Amino acid sequence: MVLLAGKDLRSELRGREILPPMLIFGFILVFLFTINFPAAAGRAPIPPPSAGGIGSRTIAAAFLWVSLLFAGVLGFSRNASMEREGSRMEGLLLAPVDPAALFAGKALANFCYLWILELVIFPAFVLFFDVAPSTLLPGILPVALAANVGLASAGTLVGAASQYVRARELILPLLLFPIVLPLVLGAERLTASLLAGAGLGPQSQWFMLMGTFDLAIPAVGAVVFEYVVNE
Amino acid sequence: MNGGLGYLGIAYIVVFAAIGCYLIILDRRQRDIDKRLKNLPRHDDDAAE
Amino acid sequence: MTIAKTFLAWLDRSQESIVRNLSLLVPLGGLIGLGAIFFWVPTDAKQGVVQRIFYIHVPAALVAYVAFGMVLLGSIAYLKTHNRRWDSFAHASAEVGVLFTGACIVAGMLWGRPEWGTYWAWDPRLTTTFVMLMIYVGYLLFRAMATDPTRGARLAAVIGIVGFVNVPLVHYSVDWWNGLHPNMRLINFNGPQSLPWQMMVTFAYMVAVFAGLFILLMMLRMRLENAQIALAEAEEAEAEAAHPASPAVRSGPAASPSPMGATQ
Repeated sequence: MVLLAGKDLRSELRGREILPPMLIFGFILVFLFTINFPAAAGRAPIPPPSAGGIGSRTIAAAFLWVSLLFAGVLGFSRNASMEREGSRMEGLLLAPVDPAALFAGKALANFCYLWILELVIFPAFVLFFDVAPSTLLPGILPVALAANVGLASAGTLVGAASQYVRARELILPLLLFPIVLPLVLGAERLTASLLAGAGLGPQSQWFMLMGTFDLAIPAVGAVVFEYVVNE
Repeated sequence: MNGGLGYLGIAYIVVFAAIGCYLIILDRRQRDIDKRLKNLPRHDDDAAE
Repeated sequence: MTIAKTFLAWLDRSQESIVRNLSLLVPLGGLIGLGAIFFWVPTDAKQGVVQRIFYIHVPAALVAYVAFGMVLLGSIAYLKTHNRRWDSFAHASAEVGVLFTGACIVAGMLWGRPEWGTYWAWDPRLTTTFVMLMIYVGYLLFRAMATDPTRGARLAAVIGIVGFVNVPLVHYSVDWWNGLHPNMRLINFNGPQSLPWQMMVTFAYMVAVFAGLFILLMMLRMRLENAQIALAEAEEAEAEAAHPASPAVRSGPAASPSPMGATQ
């Protein structure tokens, strides 16, 4: 099963049609979102909390993850539609491929895409929002890990399911966003805490939530994937 | 009484109106389908599962 | 398993009489409930009259949870048995669940405005409930857009299963984080109750009324679904009888004018 996942992964990684648009899109999103912040917003002293006010760092954290989510969806969408072109899915299924392995392979590919995306988006964010990289690193890495596992699994599952529906490009985000909201919320809260200089501690309960998700969704996905792809 | 009574009233009205609307929609569509089933010239009884 | 079978058989037989009885009992029970809510139950000391929204807000939420649990059940059962009735069951549950979640949120908003000063707040319970609503609205939209009914049903079942992961989150979010939404335990198994007994009785009664309403709506919705399927099959049989040489359009109800299950 691991072999199959690996093979699948490699065939995905060869797909140069998926990554470049995704990365560019993510980059542009971060740019657009941060364009309205005043210069050196990331370095300005943190204002005391005011009623109803949101610090720019909290918003920035949200923008970071929203950008990742949107760009990621682009990747999920194209990843999922890869099998449809040229009826490759039938070919794959004729071979005795375990659907769970298929799921694992695609999810793994999406997982890698997300990391690569973050490799682009995080520096872009540091650049445009003007934060010191030391505030983000290394704290953001476990956050990204927790987010990526769940996002990739859910994205693979929903992406595959939405291939057989009209308006599939619309349905994918529509279905995916609510399902992964706990992940995005958690990532965003944790990042905001990082940016505020408070480290991961204050919001660490989110890790529990994200962790539960990261266990539940891949498990459910692996079990259920055969119903998605089988005729 | 403060504005609370107003909110209370609206809340109940909205909730029951929503349920009522759903019931009405269900009823209308049911009638529509029943009518179309009746109007089919060859009403095959083995259309059941 | 035979208990289940006997139950289902009884359900089939008595469907019409159940619907008829409930159509009488539920509105009647509802009226009695309203009477109790507005004229019998004492007013909450702190919140005043608005607190009475509680008697529809919470039962609606409970029914919604159950409904979405039924979606999970129906989805799993459909994937395992391929019996279309489970699919109808899941679909109907999702619709009713969305209806009650929406009602719960609206009632909550109207309670929140006088109580907290705002219609909405991004606190855990409200946020996750809203997300739950979005998930199942997405589920319904997904079904409406499916091109192939069998496949669509199967995929919808998948979504129904994945979506349910969110539901325990909604319920326990109040316990895990502190937010605006109250955290009270309704029934205190040790020691004095937090609510006066009239309130608890009325609440329990309204839960029963809403349960009856849920069952009624489910049965009506499933009846509609079965009728739609029957109609589609009959129309298809019609078309084939009229043109016996036409290619086997086994894509079923998708070919017929009445879209299966499109409701929004």
